[in-house]
Amino acid sequence: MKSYKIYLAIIIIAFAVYTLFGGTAHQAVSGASLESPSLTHPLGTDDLGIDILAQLIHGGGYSIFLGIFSAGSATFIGSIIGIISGYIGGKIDHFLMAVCDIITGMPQMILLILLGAFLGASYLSMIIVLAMLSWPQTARTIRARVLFIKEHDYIRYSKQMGTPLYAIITRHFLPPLKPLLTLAFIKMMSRSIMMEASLAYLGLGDPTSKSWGMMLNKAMAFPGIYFTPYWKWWLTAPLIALVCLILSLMLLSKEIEV
Amino acid sequence: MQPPLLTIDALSIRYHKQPVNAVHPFNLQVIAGETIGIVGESGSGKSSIAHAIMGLLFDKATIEGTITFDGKTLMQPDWQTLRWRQIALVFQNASNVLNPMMKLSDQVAEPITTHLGLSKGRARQRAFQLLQDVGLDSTWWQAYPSQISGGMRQKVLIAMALACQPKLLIVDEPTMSLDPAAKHQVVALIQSLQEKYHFGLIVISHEMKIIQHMCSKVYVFYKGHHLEYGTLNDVLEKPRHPYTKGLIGASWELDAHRDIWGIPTSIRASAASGCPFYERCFQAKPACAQYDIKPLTIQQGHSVACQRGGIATLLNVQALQKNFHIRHHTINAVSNVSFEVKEGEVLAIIGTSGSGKSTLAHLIAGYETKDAGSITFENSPASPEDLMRRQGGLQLVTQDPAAALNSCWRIRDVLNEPLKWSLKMCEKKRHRLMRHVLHDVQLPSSESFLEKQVHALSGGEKQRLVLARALTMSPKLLIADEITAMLDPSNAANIVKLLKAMQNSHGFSMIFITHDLYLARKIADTALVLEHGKVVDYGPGPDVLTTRQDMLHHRPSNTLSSIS
Repeated sequence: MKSYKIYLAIIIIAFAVYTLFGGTAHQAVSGASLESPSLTHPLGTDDLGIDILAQLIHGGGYSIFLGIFSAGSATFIGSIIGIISGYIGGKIDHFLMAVCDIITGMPQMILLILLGAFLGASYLSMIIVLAMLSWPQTARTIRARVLFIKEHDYIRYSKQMGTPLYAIITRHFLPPLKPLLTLAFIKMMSRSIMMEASLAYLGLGDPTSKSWGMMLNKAMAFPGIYFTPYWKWWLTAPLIALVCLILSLMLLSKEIEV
Repeated sequence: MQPPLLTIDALSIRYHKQPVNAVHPFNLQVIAGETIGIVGESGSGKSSIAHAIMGLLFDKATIEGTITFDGKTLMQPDWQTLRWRQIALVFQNASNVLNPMMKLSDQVAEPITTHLGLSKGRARQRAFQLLQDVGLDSTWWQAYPSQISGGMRQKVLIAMALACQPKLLIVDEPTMSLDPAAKHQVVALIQSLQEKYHFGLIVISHEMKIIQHMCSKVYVFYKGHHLEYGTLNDVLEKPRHPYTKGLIGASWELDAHRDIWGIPTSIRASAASGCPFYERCFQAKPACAQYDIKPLTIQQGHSVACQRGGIATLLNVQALQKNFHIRHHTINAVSNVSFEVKEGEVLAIIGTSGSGKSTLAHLIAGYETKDAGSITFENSPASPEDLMRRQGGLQLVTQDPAAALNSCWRIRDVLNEPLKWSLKMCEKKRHRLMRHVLHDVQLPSSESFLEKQVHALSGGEKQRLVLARALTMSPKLLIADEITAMLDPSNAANIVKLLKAMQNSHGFSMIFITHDLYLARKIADTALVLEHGKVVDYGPGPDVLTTRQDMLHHRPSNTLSSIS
């Protein structure tokens, strides 16, 4: 097993175990403020005296599940629209592809900030916004693939024999699309995590959440953090964790791609 | 017109203690100097008819109907004077028809003394004359039957039959078990004798070549039923009864290039009543099982005893049109193409690549939509979707089996698709039919094979699977579009053989699309040549394919001519 897979597994398991046992340590004040790392607080505490490791454990899962939900819904929407567009073709195809073009043509980050501001910065709205922005890429790849598969005689045969559309889609199109969809899913996941972190860093995330981006934001907001030794654990811990997560997902997608 | 020499009116023969007629009522007519042929498989009652005309069956069978000879309706006693003197029969050639203890000349002289009452000496004189007429060398005249060959024995039998200069001669299987040279001699002999003596001749044979050589009118019999009547050309060129077509298809002497196929012994369960050919017929309908055969009237000319009025038209394509628009050009892929496919017929569509063959197939099967034209199936307009989705409709087998099958599917899934979605069959029935069709196309039908994935199959196996999938719908018309194009010669030969065998045994019609003239010649009943989307030649297979010899010469030398 590759180390990046172990890393991903650790984040998920740690989050799951932590949440399962009703962990509230990422919100509760458990020590003095700005403690250095010790046995009780391995990564020290922040300015409010909350344990940083607990925040890290909670924030990792938060990020991954945010990625899974937003990428999942984007893949779902993208594949449906891609199949409809490619299989039915004609005017519907033109229309759907135009919508795709419009969404991809807009500056994503700005749109994200705007939508985030309008919809409010909750976990759910974050997922919806991320999904809305990422489906067009999937739709395009799926559509191209569907156009290729559609030309096979067996599809014409199925159509002529009256096989219902849902059976044609689930039996003929989805199996060969599966590897494409998995790849798109993982790529979108890392993109979503990155975007959420960016938003949070800019202070546009859910202020009550303890995501890694929000931790970074809080740490950076501490006046003169670089003049104190606190940045070594308060700032670097979430940063390294985040970089490693993005890298791990990229490595995973690379492996699937080959 | 000459008055008929022999007229048979509604004659039927039933042997004593037999539940059914050996020969059902039929009509027949012979004019002096004319030759008619009676054809049929063994057991069709041909010999019974001969014996009835000879008046030999009165103590063995009940005979109804009338036989009029030379203007006189015959009663049982009349035959005493007519038999051998006026009506003679050349028996089927067999070693036991001659008396082994008697010299040949004496055997020929015997009927002359008994029937004409000539003296022994004069009779012998006449016997010598007859033996000379039939071309038997004088060295053999004193021989015993066991010393002569089959051909010679046939000549002696003809000499005996002609002993009393009959007005009507019946020849029962004159050439059976003779070699080709002897056959030819016997046929030529009978013809020259007929010219000399001007007798009416009835030839009974199952050999189409003999009938073709000798007869001007043909009566086709099956199981004692008279199924078709017509002049020689009508019957051989345009057979109207499926049975006649089958007989012709089984005669290799008629066309040297074609493959031969016997009439299948049984396509469906036999019917208790109705048409006798029902179980073997490729175009039987439920109504055929109730069809009551009426004797054919000879005066009508070419006539047929078939519930469907003869071989029916299955598919009729009129003025089919398809254009493709590529940028600013319009390509007439198919322009004004009309043709028809009869029941049980194999139509070969021949053309070079780009001639519109595949587009034509796709139009009929609905893979492409037509711009203009009409397609009728069994005389009613039908959409390709309906035809594809119903049993007894049409099915298409395309050239690339890899594209026709989803390679991720299991074999079970492939065969399931039409059964489940088009026929809405239950699981159990599907499974049974699946194994049945796999067996038909000579693929394993085991459970483990059904679970196999399509990509694990070879090209030949895939094509068989596509055929099996088409067969699940038991189509009346199968369109085979260059099905051997992607296969190696050996596999291709196997597939073509298999397909033709299934076509024969299941009785479906076929449109066989190919660029290979040799192959088309082997299997086609009719042929259509396409060039640039237009029909340039259309007609009976042998005619079209012989006139299209030139197409053969454009071919590279390493052709698939090995397919046979």
